[in-house]
Amino acid sequence: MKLKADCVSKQFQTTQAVKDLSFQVPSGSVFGLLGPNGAGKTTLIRMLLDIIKPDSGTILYDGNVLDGRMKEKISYLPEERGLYRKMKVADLLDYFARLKGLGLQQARSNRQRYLERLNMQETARQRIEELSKGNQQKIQILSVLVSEPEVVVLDEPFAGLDPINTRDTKLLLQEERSKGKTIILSTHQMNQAEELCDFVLMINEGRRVLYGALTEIVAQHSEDALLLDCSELPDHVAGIRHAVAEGRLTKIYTETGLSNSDLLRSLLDAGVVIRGFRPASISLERIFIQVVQQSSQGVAA
Amino acid sequence: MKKVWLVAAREYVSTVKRKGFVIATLGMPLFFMLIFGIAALVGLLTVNKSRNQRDVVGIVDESGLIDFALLPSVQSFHDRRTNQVLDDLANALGSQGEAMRTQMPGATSRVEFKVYRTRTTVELVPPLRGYYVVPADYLESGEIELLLKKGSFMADDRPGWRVVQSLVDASLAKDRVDETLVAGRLWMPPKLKAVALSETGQVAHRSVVDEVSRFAVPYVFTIFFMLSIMTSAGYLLQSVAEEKENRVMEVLLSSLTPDQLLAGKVIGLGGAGLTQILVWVIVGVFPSLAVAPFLDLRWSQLLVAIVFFILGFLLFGSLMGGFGSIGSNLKESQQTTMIWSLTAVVPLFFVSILIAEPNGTLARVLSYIPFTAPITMMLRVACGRVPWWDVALSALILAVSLLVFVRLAAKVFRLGVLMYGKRPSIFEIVRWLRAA
Repeated sequence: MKLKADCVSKQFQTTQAVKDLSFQVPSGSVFGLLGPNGAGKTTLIRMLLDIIKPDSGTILYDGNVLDGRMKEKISYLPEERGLYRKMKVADLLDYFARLKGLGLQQARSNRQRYLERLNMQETARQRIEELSKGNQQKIQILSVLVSEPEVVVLDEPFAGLDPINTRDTKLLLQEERSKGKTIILSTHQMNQAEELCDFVLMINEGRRVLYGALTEIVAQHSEDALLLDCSELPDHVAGIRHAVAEGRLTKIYTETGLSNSDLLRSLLDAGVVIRGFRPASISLERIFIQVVQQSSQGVAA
Repeated sequence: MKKVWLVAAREYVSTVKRKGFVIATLGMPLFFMLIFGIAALVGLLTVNKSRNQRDVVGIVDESGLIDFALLPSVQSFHDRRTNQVLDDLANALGSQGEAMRTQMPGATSRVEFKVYRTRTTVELVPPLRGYYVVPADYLESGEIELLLKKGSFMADDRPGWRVVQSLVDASLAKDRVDETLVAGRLWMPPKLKAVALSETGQVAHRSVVDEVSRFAVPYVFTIFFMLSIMTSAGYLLQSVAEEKENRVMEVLLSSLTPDQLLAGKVIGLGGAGLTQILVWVIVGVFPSLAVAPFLDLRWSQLLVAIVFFILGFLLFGSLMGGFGSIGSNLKESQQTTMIWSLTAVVPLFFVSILIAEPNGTLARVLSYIPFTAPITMMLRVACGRVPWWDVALSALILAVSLLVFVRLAAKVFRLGVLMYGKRPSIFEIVRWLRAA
């Protein structure tokens, strides 16, 4: 385990920002940190970065209690961001890399490699304020990666990026993961989380409301149903318990024990034309809304 | 410590590259030279003007001792103030007053005027500014009365007094002292020529310019050091506020501790301030010394000033950075730190007292209060000799209090850097400090 939190709590004045939170972030995974606004995500991130200390509980990094020495191994991209506008791109990237403990030579060679990776070498001598907004955001993401940290904490990394830059950034993050880096991704964009994350932790009002491998969570919340793009169904087909229209698709609930192959065979026998089909898994966004509403009601009750 | 130096280097480089810094560093000496030039010119013009438009006063002689025939010669002596006149006057005393008057252009001619005086009012025709009365019992009393209308701000409060003195002395000497040179010397007041000696007994030449520089040097010196402290501290405040506003702060704090960050900023910007002073010394002090070697500046003074600059900057820089971190943007941060800037300039309110008495009680008291010590000590040291133990005591008090205030500033900084939204009140800050 790269990071392990055990019963971590933090209180500010009268606000309980984080309450008895436990979770583990496996090495080399993309770990989604989800939750509505004000759920305590920023406080949790600040504790993971050792910017603030938990009131109780422990956070372990590679099995050791988190302290200032681990700061060099974890990089952070905050949600609201800015850079030193007057600084040159190369100086800025070198500065952030060196603050993470890299030597000057190493910082320079990393900076060159990452700028080349995003085809931005020509911006090296430009001031930040001379770059387009999209390029500024890419430099910001590079400023986090350039020190080659073991763990990268990204708060809404895709906010404000156009679809092409979003795709480039995702590819970059997937490359980083394939190099063995651990990525903690805090986002409200559930489709992005669904696409990238291996594990998710959802918190609401400082408490854990959902946690585990993404595939398992989706399976747990999904219904045992198939979505079909097909011609109109006859009134009765063997093995079908219930069918409802969902847009131009049809959602079919089968009788218990019936396999998908048997269902398809039964439909074909009934003369139904099938253009496409897939299991009717629930989206992470639906799960998010359900879980947050349930947990808020639970807290309110 | 490596990270502290990284931050310091970045702060230093980004500050010395600022346009404002370059303009202040190179432009300030030029600006001051310009101001002093204008002031000197205005002063010169004012002096000339007041000389040309001398207040007209009269003399009423109730004693019968005054010989008004001597007035033109006496007057022209005071106008020309040359030893050459002495011979002329010696001759003039020999009843050649009338001749002298015609020989000297510009000498005052005698005008009759009338005085209408009651117990409460005095009217002069023509309307002079006032008049001297040499009373009938002058020889016994030795008193001369002056009745004078209030003049403008710059006006002389005893116009023509030296002329009157000389006229009285000349009138008394005339026909009573035989030797003309002695008679002339009697009414001509001796001129003082002061020769200053150093502690080792070496002769140093002093002049009127010395007296001016005695005031101007400490004043300019202190203003420059103070400006440097305050601008560097202001840059520190700006840098903290900027990083908070654009959230670079959080990225930085994921790499280093708030204490490292604050220390780096203070070192970097203190270095920028020292660079500024170095430039001022090179472009300001050296040329001044070359042009005006009488400017009595010693290296020890500069050294003490630099020590107090460093201590002063550490104090105000930390406080500005610490308390500036509470605001969410530059404007709020400036409001929060206003009190420290105001405290620093308190000694300037007493500048004339401090220059007049650099080792007086007020100077000492202000030197022992940490907030006023840096500027007061710079001023005192620039004024002249301050006992070494006094310098040491003030520096010691400042250094010890630095330990307390830097800690306080760091504590406030640790709390302030991550705080966004509503600006806390002073009571809330105190409460958090206690809780932290």
